[in-house]
Amino acid sequence: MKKIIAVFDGLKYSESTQNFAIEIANNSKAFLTGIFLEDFTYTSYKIHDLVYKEGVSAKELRRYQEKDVETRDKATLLFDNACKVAGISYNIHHDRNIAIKELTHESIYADLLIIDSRETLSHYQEEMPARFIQEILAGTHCPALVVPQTFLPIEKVALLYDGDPASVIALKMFSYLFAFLKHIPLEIISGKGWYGEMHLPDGMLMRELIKRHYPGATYTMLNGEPEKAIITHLKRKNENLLIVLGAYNRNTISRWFRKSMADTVMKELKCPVFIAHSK
Amino acid sequence: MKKVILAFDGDNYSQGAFEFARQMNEIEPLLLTGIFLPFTEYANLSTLVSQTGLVYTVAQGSGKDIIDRNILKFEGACRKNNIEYRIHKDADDFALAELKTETWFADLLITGSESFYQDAESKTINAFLREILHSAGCPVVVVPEKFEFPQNNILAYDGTESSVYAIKQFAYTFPFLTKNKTYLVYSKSDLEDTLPKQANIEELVARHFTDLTVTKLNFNPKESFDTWINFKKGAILVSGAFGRSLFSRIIKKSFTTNIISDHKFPVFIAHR
Repeated sequence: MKKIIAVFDGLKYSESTQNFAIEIANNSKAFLTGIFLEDFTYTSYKIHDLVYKEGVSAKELRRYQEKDVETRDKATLLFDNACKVAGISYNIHHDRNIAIKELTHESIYADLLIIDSRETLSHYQEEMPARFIQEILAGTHCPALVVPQTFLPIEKVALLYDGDPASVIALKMFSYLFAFLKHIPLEIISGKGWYGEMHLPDGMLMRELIKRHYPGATYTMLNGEPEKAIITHLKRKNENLLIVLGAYNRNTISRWFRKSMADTVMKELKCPVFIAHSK
Repeated sequence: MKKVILAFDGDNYSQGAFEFARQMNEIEPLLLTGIFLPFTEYANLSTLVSQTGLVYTVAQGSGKDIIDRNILKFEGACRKNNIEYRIHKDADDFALAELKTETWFADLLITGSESFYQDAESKTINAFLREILHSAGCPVVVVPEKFEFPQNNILAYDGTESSVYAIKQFAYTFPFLTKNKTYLVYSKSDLEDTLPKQANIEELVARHFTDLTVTKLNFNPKESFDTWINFKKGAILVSGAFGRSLFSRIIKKSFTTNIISDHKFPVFIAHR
């Protein structure tokens, strides 16, 4: 992995994104680009306030705007310093257009995108994962790592395998990108309810592949409703986990029939989630 | 690179494809899965192709013996070269769907290029290879019978997301080739001096490939590309051109197809 993009909201700087990005860039000797989203439709003040407080003078509005610029500059400086201290090569992009569109485009030319799971790019409290995160995950052209609020070094990797090729492709991508974690313990977790039988779908092929990438991998088969069983199982773990998931299914059918596992995991667990798309 | 599939169709045993896998194994040991596609697939193909006016005669009877002989040959070659191997041949009906499933669980698929079109009268690539390239769940390398193991990388960039995706996949799949001399080639007959999104693509590619030259070929893309590539000995061409939107170009002999048909270079193809 050579190029990582870390996504920041300059008005609410995420230290966790910074720490994960620097840690990963450092270990894989990658180049880090900090992307500060400065969407022109997004400010710290609300248009509503400007209008309803009997209007706001031009002077007042300028004061608001200057305050935002200051906050954003401070955030950029924090990132700048952290990268210098860590001694990694980096640069900073300021995206001033519509955030989602710019990000999707930047992701074509990157190996990994890192973003805080709480990023909303709005003032409103949203239920996790926010619409903004969902749209990014659905649109990104490179794999994404969605990080929790606090940084913890990764100690173990869990792959959620439901027999879908997407999760296998996600694991291959993880193995290529996180080559520095090749000796990390890997657990492959599968739920019986996903396909009704007690053995892995395409088990032989799966083991053949996994053995080459992670020789010490272990397999866990869970009973009961997969979503619940998996969350309970993962919550019991003492190690700091990273979870690998297949495509972020946002097509109409899966949205109606089953909530994306990725959404549940992001909401319930406080660990980084690696998501890669396939077709 | 950990797990590689080598696909043979019917009676064609591609020495070139095996040789490519053998040399990869020398650099980094791999698990090689030999997949032998029987003639029944050709039967399906013949119906498929005959709709366009071509007629196939399918030699059902003798096919099995030839496949068995090819399997023995493959086994012998693997043992001789210390390659860890598996053989997958699901009886008589190893359908294309099975091969597709196999590719999800592999890092790369290697296949020979010559056998795939010797049956068709036209010089376009046959429907079977096209289908493989289109549906594979991992990148594909198409290898001619006579080739030199890559010492140069030629990255075909046309400004699309698909071409960037292929370049990234190539770097992940062949980390040991990224230090070789690499050409990022943009070939289009417009008069602009810069590449589309030049800053972005350079920022990415220069980090993956240490010895990089960016070249823009003007003039007629096909001709200038063919002339240019002839001077690059021992190259591998990286292309995302088999993406859905560019799929129709294959029929019109896009440059990727031409390179494959002219028996020159291994071609690396990846698409989402």
